[in-house]
Amino acid sequence: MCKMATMITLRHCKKLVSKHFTTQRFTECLLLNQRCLSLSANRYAAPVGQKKAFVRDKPHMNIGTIGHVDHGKTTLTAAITRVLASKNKTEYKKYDDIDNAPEEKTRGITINAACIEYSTDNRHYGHVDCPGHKDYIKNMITGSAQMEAAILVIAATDGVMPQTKEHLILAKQIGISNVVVFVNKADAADAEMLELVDMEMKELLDEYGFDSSKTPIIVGSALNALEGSNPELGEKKILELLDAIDSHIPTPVRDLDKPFYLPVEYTYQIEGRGTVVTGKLERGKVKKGEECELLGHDKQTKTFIAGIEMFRQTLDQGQAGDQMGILLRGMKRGDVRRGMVVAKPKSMSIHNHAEASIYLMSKEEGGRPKPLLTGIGMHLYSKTWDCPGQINMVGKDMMMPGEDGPVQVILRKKMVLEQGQRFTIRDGTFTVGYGVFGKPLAHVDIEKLDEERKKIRKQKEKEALERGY
Amino acid sequence: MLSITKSRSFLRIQLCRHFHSSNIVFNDAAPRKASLANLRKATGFSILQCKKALEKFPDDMEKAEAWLNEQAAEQGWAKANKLGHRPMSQGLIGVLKKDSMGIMVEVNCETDFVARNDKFRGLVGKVTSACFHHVKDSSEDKVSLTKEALSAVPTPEGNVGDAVALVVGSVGENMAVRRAAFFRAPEGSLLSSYVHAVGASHVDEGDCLLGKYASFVLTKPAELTASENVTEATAGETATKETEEEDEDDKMDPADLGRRLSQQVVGMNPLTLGDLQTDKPSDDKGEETRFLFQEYQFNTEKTIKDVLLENQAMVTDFVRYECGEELSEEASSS
Repeated sequence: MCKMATMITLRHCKKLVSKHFTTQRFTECLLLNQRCLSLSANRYAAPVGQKKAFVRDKPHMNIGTIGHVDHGKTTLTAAITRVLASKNKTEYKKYDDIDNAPEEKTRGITINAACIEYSTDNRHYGHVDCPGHKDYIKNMITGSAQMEAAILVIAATDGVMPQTKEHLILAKQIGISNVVVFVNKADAADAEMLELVDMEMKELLDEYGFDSSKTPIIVGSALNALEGSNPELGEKKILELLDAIDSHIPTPVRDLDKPFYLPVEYTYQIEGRGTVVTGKLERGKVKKGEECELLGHDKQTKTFIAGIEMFRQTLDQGQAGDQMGILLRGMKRGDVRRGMVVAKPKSMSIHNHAEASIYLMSKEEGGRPKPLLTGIGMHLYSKTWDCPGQINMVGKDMMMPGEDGPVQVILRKKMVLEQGQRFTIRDGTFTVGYGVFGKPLAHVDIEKLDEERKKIRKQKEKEALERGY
Repeated sequence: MLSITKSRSFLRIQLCRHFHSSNIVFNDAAPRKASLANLRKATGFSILQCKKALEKFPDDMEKAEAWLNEQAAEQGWAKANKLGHRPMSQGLIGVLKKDSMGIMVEVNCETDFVARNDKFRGLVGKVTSACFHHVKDSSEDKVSLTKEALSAVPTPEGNVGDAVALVVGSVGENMAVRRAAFFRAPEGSLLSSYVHAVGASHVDEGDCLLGKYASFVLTKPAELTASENVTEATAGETATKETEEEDEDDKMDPADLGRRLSQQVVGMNPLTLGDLQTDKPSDDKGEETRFLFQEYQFNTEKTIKDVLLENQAMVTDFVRYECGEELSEEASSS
């Protein structure tokens, strides 16, 4: 326990240091970022040098641990890798390795998170562990390691803590609908205590909208599992926990099985044939001759796919992940633009008004030093489109750098956007922050909005004149 | 790792003892289970503590509860000492403003989860109001309280230090009251405040407002201002309000002006006030740290100086707290 405390100290020290040496730190972080990029590129590509190739043989899922500081999240994570290391190819991560994980740098944002991977017989897991609420929120908004499920860790000796409630609220907020509870430190508790924890936990789960009768609650000891002692409470329970995760949490729908969706990168006009749009097919499968819809930039038109081309070769069917060109018949110049989307009819829609959660980068992260006031005009980038927009805050009129919160976004044009789609907020050439769209809202009449604004401005000028300014 | 093992095995030995004693009374386990649950609900202390209390007073809930409360402060202090070296960068600032007086108190904790918790919020509210009552009769118009002085401030139940220890005991995270600033507006001046919370808007806790940032600004009408001018300004303000949603007008109600200026202090983080007579505006607008020369965030074509001239008012003092900020000397003394 003592050791854990010092580790936390270290982690915090790092934060302090980064505050001190802002500029130096920032270049360093850029360098680190580069390295991260090359690392991950290696991991997904063919083996280079001695790097192991990533084998995609099982469905992947991101999971995370949440819980009180002393309740054994890190011990549990270490225990999981240890138990799985003896079963399959998972690499055993020691407690210190996880606790000492470097600050994650995603697109310049500092996120305190430990990311490790392991696989069960059924799935491959990416596992995230963050120390603070804000880190999970940043994670969610930037999408660096989107959590699809969570393991809530509770120590049997302490029981449900006042802040356990906050952990569940967080889970809801970042879009997790399935949790699995691990009651830790069962080796230091008796039956009576365990029963009480179980009861309290179920009560809390119900209170915050999780179905307690369906949520698996596993009672065990991460420490026993890590040390390899007492297999009844240790190893066996870890395997039980993993089983529960495998079976309780459904695998997300694979991109391949969704309706097709291609954000347009470039368009080319081919005399006598039509328009070719290029881009990466993000989801689904697309066939020659299929009907499709072209949406974005205030427009929505139906057409059909006259041909598909990849690497200068024609093909009959393309699938998610393919970089391709699509020939669209009967389109005029100007009908098709970068930022539009080719999608299965009725699967997508265009909006100019939506809810969103945003995170404004702190000054240390390269954000703007000044706060953002509600109603401010910013330039938004998402997928291949970009559009000027207005950011209206909810319940407040100012957001400070380093702050996150709910907003409503009004775009000058109707663009394709959906819940969970991420965007970047820029001011001129500076990136100010990141966001993720929530529910689309009713369309706003931009012309009317402009007129009203003009009216107010004129009124003001008139009054100023009358008062002799 | 060794230390964990050690402390855990120690616990285990302790628990073996528990098992022994509980075996004797095992036949009436059902009512005991209920009383353990009730005791947890009533007190909120850890399961282990509640169990100990019930073992001491098996048939008497009231006594068990009394014993727990007795132990709580002691336990909290012990825990606070044990966790004392852990850094605290999170927390909240409590602000209590009554008429011409106001206080802001920063209370820190370890994680932002706890900063969102009702128990912690309750503590910040309690500490803020205790500090307010402690200094409100002071003869000075501006009081700063240090960590040590704050701990001894009396509360209805004891002192601030005890109140913190109690919550440390039940929440299981280190906490500390870091600093406090008290302002009293002299005759003719106006005290304005702004509290900024992350996420939703600021939180009410009793009479207090809680947030991540807080500021006080003292304004007074400038010497040039004649009383007729002030009334004229107010009349103009009400006339424009009818036609406009936003009051980005040149002349503002003194209270509105104060609020806007307080918000500006939080937003633009000025370090000093600056002197209109002797200082010159900095060449780089973005780097300006003197309040009077900073650009006005609600209308960047103006500076604070312009706004004050239009409103014929002057800022005499200000203070800004940012929760968890690193303190340099000028920040703590401003």
